[in-house]
Amino acid sequence: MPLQKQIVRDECELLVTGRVDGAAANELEVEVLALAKTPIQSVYLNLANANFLCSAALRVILQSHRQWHAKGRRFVISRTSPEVDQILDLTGMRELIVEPT
Amino acid sequence: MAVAADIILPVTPELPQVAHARLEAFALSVALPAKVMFAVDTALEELLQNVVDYSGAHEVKLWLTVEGGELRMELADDGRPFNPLAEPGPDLSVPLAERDVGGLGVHLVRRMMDRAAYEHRGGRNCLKLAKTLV
Repeated sequence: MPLQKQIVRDECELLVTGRVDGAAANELEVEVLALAKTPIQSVYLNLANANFLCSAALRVILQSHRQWHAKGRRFVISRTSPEVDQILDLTGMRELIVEPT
Repeated sequence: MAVAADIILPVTPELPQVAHARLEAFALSVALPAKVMFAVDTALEELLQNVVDYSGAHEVKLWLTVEGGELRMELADDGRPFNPLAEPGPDLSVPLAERDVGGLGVHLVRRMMDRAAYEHRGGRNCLKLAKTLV
């Protein structure tokens, strides 16, 4: 799973490309835990180029959203692909999609 | 005409990826529609990740065929008896902030596939799933 990170001031966009399966979910979790130790205040997960999203990745995203929110920070999904849209619809998680401000 | 793949895979941490590669090859050989491939791919990932994480199984038999206007998939593992389809799904009416993060995988399997059935047969957990070709 290629993962690109772009940081501007205290915001970070994580651009995920390809298949977000169980192994990729672990990589994503490691990346997000590392970001949590930085001064970054907002993480926008760009899934526009992700063509597969498993439940392990959904758990990482939901738990990260909660943990960051609890600390007054933001972890949301900024963009989606049709495949990711379908998974978010089926799991009732569309409200995690928030456009960057 | 039915086209089938019958594969035995060892249970290792890489099982889901290995099975995905075999599914991709099968999908190519039968020109499986993308929508059907996505559904079956999702179900296979979720079910095999459960096998890796919880079953104690040593091997999984994966059987795929296109017949009767549908893709049929059967998985049989030699792990502890367990029916994932009997597990309660997540309660999607609970606000996201309070929702249990478990159960999403089997929920996706149920929603993505048209049919799913479990039986414990010959010492194996057998799951039969089907998706209509569209």
